Amino acid sequence: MESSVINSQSYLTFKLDKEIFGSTVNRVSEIVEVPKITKVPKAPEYMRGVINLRGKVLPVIDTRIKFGMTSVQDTVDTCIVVLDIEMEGENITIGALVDGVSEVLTIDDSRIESAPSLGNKYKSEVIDGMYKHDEDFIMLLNIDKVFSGDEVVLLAESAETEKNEAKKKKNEKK
Amino acid sequence: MDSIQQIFVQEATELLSELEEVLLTFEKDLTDTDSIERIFRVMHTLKGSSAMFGYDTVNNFTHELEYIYDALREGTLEATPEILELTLESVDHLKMLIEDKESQDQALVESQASLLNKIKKYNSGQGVEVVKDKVKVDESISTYYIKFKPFKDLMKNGSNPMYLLEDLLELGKGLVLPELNDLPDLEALEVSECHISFEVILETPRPLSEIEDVFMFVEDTADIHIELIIEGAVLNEGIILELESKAIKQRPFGIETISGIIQNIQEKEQSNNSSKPQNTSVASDSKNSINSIRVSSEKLDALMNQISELVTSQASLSMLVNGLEVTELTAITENITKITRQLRDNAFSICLIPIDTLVIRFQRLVRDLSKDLGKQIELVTEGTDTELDKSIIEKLSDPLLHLMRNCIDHGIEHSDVRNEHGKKTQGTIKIQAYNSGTNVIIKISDDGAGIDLEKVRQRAVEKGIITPNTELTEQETYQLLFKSGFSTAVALSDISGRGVGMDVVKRGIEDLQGDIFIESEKGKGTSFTIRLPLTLSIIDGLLVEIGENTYVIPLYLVDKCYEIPAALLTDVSQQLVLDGDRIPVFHLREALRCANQSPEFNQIIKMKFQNEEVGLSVDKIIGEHQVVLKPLGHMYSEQEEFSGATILGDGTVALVFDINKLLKKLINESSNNISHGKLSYQ
Repeated sequence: MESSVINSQSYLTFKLDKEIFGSTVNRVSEIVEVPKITKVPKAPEYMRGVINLRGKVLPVIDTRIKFGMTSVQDTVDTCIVVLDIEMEGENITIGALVDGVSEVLTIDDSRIESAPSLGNKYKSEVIDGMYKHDEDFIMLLNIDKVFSGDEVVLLAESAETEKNEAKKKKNEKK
Repeated sequence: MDSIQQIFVQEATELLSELEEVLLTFEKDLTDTDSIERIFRVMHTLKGSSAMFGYDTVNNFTHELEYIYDALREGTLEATPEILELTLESVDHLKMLIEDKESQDQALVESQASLLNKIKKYNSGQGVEVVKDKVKVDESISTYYIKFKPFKDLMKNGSNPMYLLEDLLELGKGLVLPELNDLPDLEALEVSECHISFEVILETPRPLSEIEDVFMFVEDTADIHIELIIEGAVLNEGIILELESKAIKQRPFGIETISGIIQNIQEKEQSNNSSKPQNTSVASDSKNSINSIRVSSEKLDALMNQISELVTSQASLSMLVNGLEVTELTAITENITKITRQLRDNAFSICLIPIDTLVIRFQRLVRDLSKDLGKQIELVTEGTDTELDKSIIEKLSDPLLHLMRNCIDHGIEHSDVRNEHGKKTQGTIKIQAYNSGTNVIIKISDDGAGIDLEKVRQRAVEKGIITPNTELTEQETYQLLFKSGFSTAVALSDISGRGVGMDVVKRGIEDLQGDIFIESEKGKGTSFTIRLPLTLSIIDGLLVEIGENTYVIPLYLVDKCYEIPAALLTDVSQQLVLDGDRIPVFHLREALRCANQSPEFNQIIKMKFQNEEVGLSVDKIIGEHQVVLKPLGHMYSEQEEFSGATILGDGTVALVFDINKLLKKLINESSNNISHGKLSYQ
């Protein structure tokens, strides 16, 4: 029993569309309601804007767009998970807009399965592993990799089209 | 250990820069005993703390160096330019030693040995010229005892005993011992009367009559008694301590007691065969240190952060209270507003440091570089007590250093060339600083060769920066110098002109929200004028609305506002006639791609950009706002047109424009559009 305590970690799970994701709680500093978000013009689409987090200016990322989903109207469950991530060797704080947070799970390391390389629509480097919880599969995310890149985290082909679209948009803007 | 070492390195670095500063003053007057004294003292402190922190090499080295200045102090050695040169070299060496505690670097060990050799030459008496016996100087000094007991009504005549004492101390070195025995109880105290008498021990080279002259106008309103104690100077630390430590009740001591004490201590010192006692400047130094304390800049940053949060919270409070209309609350809030403002101004002024701190470095640079290049250059500074935020000063150092190098290397000509042109042999570089509104202006000028406009043009054409037909104003041509990859000097030297430089200077200054202009006259000289904001953290801003967002424009840039019908604004960039002048206007709604409906009337804000007038259109002007600037962070590093964000009274975030970068982007984009248009037209 003792060994399992040492080898387990806690994960915060959150929902995006119909899927459930998990992030290690070590990186989560808090969860806040969605205040008024100030959009920064000409920023990439997944950058939702900035909010005031007790006097600090916090960038907020629309995680749905980051994962290649369509953006939806915020609901009462929509919230911002404040994460400390490492980006280019620097520690920065960001907010991730998610559809809703579910629970904190303590997951035994031995029960984490590696992500299947086939049939997964997300790039393998952003997924640390999978965990089967009741009937659902929870994708455990590598938070640094997900949020530090400036593109969406879909698998190569679909990401490519997304990228092209973004580029097209950029050109249009110009 | 690491943090302790850090403390030492920081302290030692400060000491060394102080040393450098004094050495440079000393260079101007090699007979200045004050400087020698200061140099010795700084070295002594450095020696002590290096020993304490285990920097043995530094300790030993300083120890040897100190001998020279001890000898200079004693008068057994005469100051020469060679000694000064050696000391400066040693200071550089010490700087490196501090970084390299374990003396790993072999080159350092070698240079240490050679420097030590040179130093020891002086210490062993070789090359020493013994100057005249020092006692001679002392002979003309006499020490007097002065008893000054003002009558009660002295002040009624308009005299002030403090001024008299000050006058007295101007004559020489003195010790004032006040006596309070006649001071009545507080209830009985009549403030317009004088109840204190003084005993003064004064050593001065001046004759007795001059001391008497000080009291000329109070002869009738005070008891004055002046008596010679002894020929020669006697006031030293031991005596001062002895006298000051005696209970105040025992005063007045009277001349007998005082001369007794002096004799006692002198005898003791002679028997101890102690070295020449430290003089009063040591005592006055310790008094000075109470006036200021050293605070780590981290603490200051934390304080500034908390104050910015306070300013923000206070703004929210005011807004809330305004809606409530409760009189008592309004009064309290107004009070808090006032206090916050004062607190902010105070904390803000703590973070300001004078430009002086940079200038010391430049003095050294000018001295060394001009020697290397065989030029004669004098550095003149003016208004360097002007203060700037410490974070700006830190970032200003490199750009200014580069400009100085440019002046020394390219600006000032060699003396023979200068003579040919009928100029003074010695070139002058001038640093001037002054406040102008909420800006600080720093001007660096030289009286050198000036900039050849035609050469700049040719070069720019060669480099493909402009076409031969491009028409440019004088200022525009100068601005070409700041383009990257531009350098007019034909032969590159290792001092400046590596092709990079001027563009880095400009970028550095623009990062500080400042700008830079060049003025030059061929053959007469060049001057660089840098305009900087006083601070970066808290600025006065103009709150405006564009689309759904609120934005801040730094107020110091705003010149004038106009209201015009929205229908007039058709394009991102266009020309409009305002006050009879045609100026380019940028439509920010379009530039920022706002989706919502434009209001019927737009506001144009007129401002100056690189000496030209431009206009920016916004939906609505909300008003003035105290802006606490917060960084937008890494994720928005691409959005250069914003220098940061700020939090408004209602808790929402407003973006702050970096007008320099915004306008540059807009101008670039519009000129691209025009060229595109031309292409498609053809």
